[in-house]
Amino acid sequence: MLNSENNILSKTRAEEHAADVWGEFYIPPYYNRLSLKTSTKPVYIVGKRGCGKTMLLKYLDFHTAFSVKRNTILDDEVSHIGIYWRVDTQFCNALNRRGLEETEWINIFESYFALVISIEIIRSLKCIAKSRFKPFGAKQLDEMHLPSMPDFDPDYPNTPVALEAYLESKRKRFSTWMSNISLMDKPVLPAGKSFLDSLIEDIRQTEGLEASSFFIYIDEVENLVAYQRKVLNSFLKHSQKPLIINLASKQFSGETETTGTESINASHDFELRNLDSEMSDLERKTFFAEVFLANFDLSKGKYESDLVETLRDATNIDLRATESYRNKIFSEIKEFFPAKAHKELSADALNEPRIVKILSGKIAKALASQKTSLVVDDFLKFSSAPEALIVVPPLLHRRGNNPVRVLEELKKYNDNEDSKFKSGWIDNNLFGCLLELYRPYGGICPIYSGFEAFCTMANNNLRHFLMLCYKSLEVADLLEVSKDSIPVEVQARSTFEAAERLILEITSIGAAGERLRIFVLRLGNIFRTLQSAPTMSESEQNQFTINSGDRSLNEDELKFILEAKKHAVLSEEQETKTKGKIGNDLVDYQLNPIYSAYFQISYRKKRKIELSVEDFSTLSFGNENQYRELLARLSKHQNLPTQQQELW
Amino acid sequence: MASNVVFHNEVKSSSQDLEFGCNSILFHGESVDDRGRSVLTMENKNIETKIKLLYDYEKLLVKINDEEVNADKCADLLAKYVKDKNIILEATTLGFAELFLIVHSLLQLDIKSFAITYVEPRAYTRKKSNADEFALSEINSGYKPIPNGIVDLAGEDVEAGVFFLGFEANRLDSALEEHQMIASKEIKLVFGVPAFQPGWELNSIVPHLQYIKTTYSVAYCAANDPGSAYECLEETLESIHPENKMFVAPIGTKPCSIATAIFASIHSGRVGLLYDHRLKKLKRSNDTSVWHKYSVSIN
Repeated sequence: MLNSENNILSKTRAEEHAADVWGEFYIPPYYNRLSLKTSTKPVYIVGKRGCGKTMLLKYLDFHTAFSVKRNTILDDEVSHIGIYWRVDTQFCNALNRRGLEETEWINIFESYFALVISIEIIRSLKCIAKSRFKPFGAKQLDEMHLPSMPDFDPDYPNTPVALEAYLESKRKRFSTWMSNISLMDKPVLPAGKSFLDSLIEDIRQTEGLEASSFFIYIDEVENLVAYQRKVLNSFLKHSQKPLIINLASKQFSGETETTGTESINASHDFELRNLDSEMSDLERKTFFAEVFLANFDLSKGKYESDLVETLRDATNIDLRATESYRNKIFSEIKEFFPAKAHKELSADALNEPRIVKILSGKIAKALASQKTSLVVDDFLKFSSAPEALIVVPPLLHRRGNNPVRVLEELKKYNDNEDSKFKSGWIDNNLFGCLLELYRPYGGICPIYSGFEAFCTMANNNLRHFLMLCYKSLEVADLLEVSKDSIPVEVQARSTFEAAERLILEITSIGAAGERLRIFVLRLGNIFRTLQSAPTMSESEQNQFTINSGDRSLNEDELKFILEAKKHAVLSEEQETKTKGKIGNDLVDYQLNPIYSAYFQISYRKKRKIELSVEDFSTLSFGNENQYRELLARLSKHQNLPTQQQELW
Repeated sequence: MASNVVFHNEVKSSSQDLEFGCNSILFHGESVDDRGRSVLTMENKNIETKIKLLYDYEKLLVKINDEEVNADKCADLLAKYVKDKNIILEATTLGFAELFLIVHSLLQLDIKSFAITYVEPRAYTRKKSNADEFALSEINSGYKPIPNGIVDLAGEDVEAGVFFLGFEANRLDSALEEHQMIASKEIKLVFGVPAFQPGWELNSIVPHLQYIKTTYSVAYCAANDPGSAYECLEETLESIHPENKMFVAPIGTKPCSIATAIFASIHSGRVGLLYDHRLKKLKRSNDTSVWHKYSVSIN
């Protein structure tokens, strides 16, 4: 792979992009619906890792809005000057305890906030002055005065550039004091929000900036200390133009208290925007494909390709929703990542001598468990109906199925007559059977290929989708096969490698990371073990529900589920059919399908297993022996595979 | 920048061969493996007192026996123990945060010479036999501050960062995920080469390969030589603007952590720390290899 390709196609995280993402941010289909630049209320943006939240916030930030790369900037652009502040949570965690009362810390945090944001506000002015924004340029910046600043302290300079340097030195001193609070005197800090209000008022007195408004986007608020969230909630509640405080986090923090007696309320005080649920399935698929195809153009040096230009401009959103446009995009992406129908995959499988041998073995074993004179070859001669032949072993294992009858049905199917194979046997079993036949191939099964499968496995997560695509290009490159249309086997290998990497990555997602990784390994292993049951009566299990037990989920278990959902290890769906025996409405939890290739289980949302509260506790917190007992119990009525499963 | 720290390294095959000054006081942490047990049961006539010191990263407190103080006041707590004593810091069992807080306090108390002991393991425990991964840490508590080593990574004045790396790549993953602003800084990844034992360097390099391909620079220093790690840190400090700051993430070998603790204590105005306070797994290593005594003197 060329270096230029490597650069663009290795960036699956927004932090790998510079602050100015002009030209690199593709307008998502929901962008206009967010009404970020027209809303007068603050927004609380929620989105899990990989949903595009950071890129969106960078796009709203002044570095991008007033980018030197931007050819035209309208006069009203200053009505939304975005400031993206990603908080250093370990630093903010140090603004706590250490012998000071919380009330003191509240004042300190408000001053720190004012210090950081005022510096950013001045930087935004410098950025605007350098940009192609006509009403305010370098000359106006030089001549600009901030008359109210010395009112706060006679030492405060009243010109932007000098004030920035002064505040920056204050910030350095503040940071040094914060490290050594018992060894240094507390520096004098700017007043809190009133300082910002005055600064902005001064700015609005300047020609060209009369209509300016500042929108602060504070990310990672869920990891701040509780009193700090309350301070920010207070700012949010009392936000009004020209200073609007917006918040962002992986999930809604749930902290609604302010530093006063009030609380904040979605819809009354702010608009809650959940980026994970802003797109319809069709919009999501289109957008995922667009992003990959546009990045591929960039990697080839086509910085101004039609597609890239289309995605950069918010006015094209309607065009991108037309059927003809979507069809064109789908056709291009499917060319890159072709899929094969299950029938075709079955035929391919039977062209592999190793798989035919495995299939023969499975049929022989199933026949041996039945009283029958039939032999393996009686079935194998129907290799012209591969999708039916492949599902024969579990059918023969089921007690209710007479082998002679199964053979008759197979013949009917082969002769294109109505048969049970047509009316359910294939649909219900083929996916699982293919996975089982490819099990000795170490997770590399062609069923994990194709654009549609990539979308399902990525499960709303753009980063995961791009990882699957980029990994496929990388592996194709290594194997020296065509990258214009990547063979299904190469895609399958890449999917496995991506899944393996993402499972390793779980340990790095917060305090519960290692525990979550073990949970994923255990749960995946249970699904894998259950799927390998010879009868395959419940194939494609990859969900669970907690519907029994002698107690309710305790605080630790609920917290664990919350963490798993926050990091998309599990996704939740309300189960409407039944009521739980433990009091709550039942919920189905699905293991993130991005991990499915690692365990060689289905990525489709099909079937679930039922767990008790105690079982769930074992999966999450139990030791190895307890987990082994659980696994043995769950697979009690389904013979374990001949090969001992790896245990975690 | 001329180095103002002298490390004298003595390497011995057993604790009996180590010599300490009279009236020594030894600070130590929790023992989790064979070498921890060996070092805490070490008999030496010159070691008068052994004191366990722990840092609570949630409450930002240090604790000796039943006495707890804010970590900012660690020097006040240590003052009564260290007067007229030879100081030994037992780095095999002390965590990095504790090591740093003690060194920083000693400098505050104007104690500029002390000894540090460290025992290399014979082997580290793998997750499963023949597995590539090692079972070294139990819980990832996330990156939490240590008083006197606090730095605001969101500040543009924090220009550079040094990561000392070990066997667990997910520690770097976590740092980059939790502190995405790091991506815009000058980052140096430092591997322990030569490693404690031939071949072990691959255990740290291979899991980090994906980062070696990025724009981060890569450097090497001997895994068991704090002097070499210290020089590596000095290089970075020299390379940045005199008014700017750097941070160090000591998530590699303990000798590199020793260098970090001393370096960050000496340059506390310009050097911050990024540390994840992982709970060490019981039996994380097997047996003991060589014993080190690093005599440190700060001019």
